[in-house]
Amino acid sequence: MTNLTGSAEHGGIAALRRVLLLNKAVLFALILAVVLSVASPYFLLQQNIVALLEQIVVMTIVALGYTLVLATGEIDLSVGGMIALIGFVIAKLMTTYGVPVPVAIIAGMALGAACGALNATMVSRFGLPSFIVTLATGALFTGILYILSNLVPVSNLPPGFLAISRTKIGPIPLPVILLVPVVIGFYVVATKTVFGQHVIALGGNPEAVRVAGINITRLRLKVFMIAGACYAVAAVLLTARSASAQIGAGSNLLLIVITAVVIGGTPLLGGKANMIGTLFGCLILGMISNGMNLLGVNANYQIAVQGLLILFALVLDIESTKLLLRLDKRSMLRRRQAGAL
Amino acid sequence: MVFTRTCFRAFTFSVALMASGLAHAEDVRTIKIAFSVDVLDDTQNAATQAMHKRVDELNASRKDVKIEFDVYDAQGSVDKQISDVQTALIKQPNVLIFSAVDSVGSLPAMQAAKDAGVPILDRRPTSPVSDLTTVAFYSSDENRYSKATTEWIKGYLKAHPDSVLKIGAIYGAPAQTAQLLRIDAIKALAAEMPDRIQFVAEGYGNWLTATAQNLSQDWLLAYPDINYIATANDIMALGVSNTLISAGRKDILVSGYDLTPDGVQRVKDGTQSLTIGTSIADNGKTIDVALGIVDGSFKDKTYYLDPVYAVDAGNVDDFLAGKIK
Repeated sequence: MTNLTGSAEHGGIAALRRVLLLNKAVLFALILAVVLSVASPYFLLQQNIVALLEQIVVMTIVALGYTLVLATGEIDLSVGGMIALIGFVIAKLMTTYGVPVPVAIIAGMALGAACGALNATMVSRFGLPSFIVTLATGALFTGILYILSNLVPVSNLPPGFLAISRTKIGPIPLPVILLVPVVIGFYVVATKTVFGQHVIALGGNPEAVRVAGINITRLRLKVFMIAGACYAVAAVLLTARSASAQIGAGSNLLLIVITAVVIGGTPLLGGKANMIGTLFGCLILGMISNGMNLLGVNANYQIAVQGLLILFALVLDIESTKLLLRLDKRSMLRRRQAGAL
Repeated sequence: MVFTRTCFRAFTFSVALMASGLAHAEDVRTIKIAFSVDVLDDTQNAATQAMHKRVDELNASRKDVKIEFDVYDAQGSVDKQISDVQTALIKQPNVLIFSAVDSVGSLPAMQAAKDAGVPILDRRPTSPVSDLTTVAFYSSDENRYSKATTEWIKGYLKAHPDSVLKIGAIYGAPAQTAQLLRIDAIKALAAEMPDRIQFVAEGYGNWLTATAQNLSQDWLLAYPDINYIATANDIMALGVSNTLISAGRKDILVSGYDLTPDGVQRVKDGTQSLTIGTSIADNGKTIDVALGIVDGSFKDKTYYLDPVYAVDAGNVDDFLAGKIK
């Protein structure tokens, strides 16, 4: 009896440990939030929480699309070029050609999906690594942007478009509210749909996916197109927030997004897609930046501290994965022993 | 027979035409100007466009020279700038216009030009000016920019004797050292007037609107008494301006540099307090100085693009009307 209770208790602790390890980004975010709320009196202010969420919206939307790409074992280096190009096209359509705001946004999303389709097609059709393809298309998108824009940013955007970032529902900005269904949607797609299972399977074992008769070309096309559409949504929000389409917009996003996704528990080599982890990965990076600004950390130290914290999060990720594997192994052995008895 | 004679006349005429053409070609001197630019952002691009325009004007008006103008964008990378200059030198330019990514890191590029015997017009001269420089061309001259900023601040403080400036400063990118002076000059002034100017926060905006916007959003919370956010260019000033509009704050000063059309417009609209710079259109004079170096008519070691404007609410209308010279 005692043994049984002890075993149940042990099982409960193991399950809790397992949940925490699987959601280590959540755990790390919580620890960071506690540390920052102790260190800065401003951190937990509603105004700051809202500002923090507002600051991570663009990054998170890009990162959610990116999680799908990484889950398939691919990488996309064209993010920055694509976001800047889409933002410019949307802004130009509205300001120069008088295209209504919703139509311009739809056109931007179509452009994002088309850019994603180009990436996927180049990878599938010619069997090229996505690393090289997207490096090239990133340069192509940037080049097209430079040619079209002549490096002049687009301002004087219509008020209807600027309202996207300036509208608040209660104290919460519209983009933050929009983020909620996007996160839920991606979570559902990754965990509850056949498409999500195929995506993860493709990253984990592409040969098995091929043998199972799944059309890898079509699957990859869908993933890159969804990612492209996500970048377009991010471009809309970034352009609205900046009140102009800047030539350098999004140029800093690539590394941040990859870091957030990996911290969130989606490995660089694919085979997993942790959307909630990605959300918390973005939150962690946002909190690091926001926290250091609130604490008045010297700008030069901020860069070093940011690097150290990201390294720490990555090491934590690797070590916890190893621990998880050990726990699984131990639990399997225990079950075998129990079965033998 | 008649056909043969006609053919002969046509041939003679063609030879004569070709000969006159060759003689004409010998009179026209081709001058190759290479421009290695640190990063072709919208400001540098506008300056480059002004240079292109001047080249077109000169090619149209002067029959004795044909100017070839090649632009190499280092994209903010010292390494790329060194490679760019190596490539440019293969085409044997008569003069190199140079805008360093980094005043020290880019020296090998200048050295390569010097070794190849190519004179250098330095558009971002260091202080003191490098021995490698033929002519130091001060367009976005950090010293004069800084002076204009500190003079403006002094004027503001004089007009507002009870005011104490609590400053948040946004630098550009840390790797680009020359621009640091834009903020550091205000710091030096703060050291002279500690009771009137205090620095409360500083950070790198990396020349991005969105980054400056996030930074200023955090500062408004962390430093409620902040009343002046100084940025190293108008692109980042836009980010601060967006934050202030969003927060409904009109009591905070915002300054930027480069005198971009958008920056000037924001000064006019009252969402930016100050933009400092030379007129981008005047950058075409770089080409005239470069030609002067080539033909030996420009003998000075320095050239100052004048004037440096400090455009604020008090003079923006005059500036836009072209009344300020």
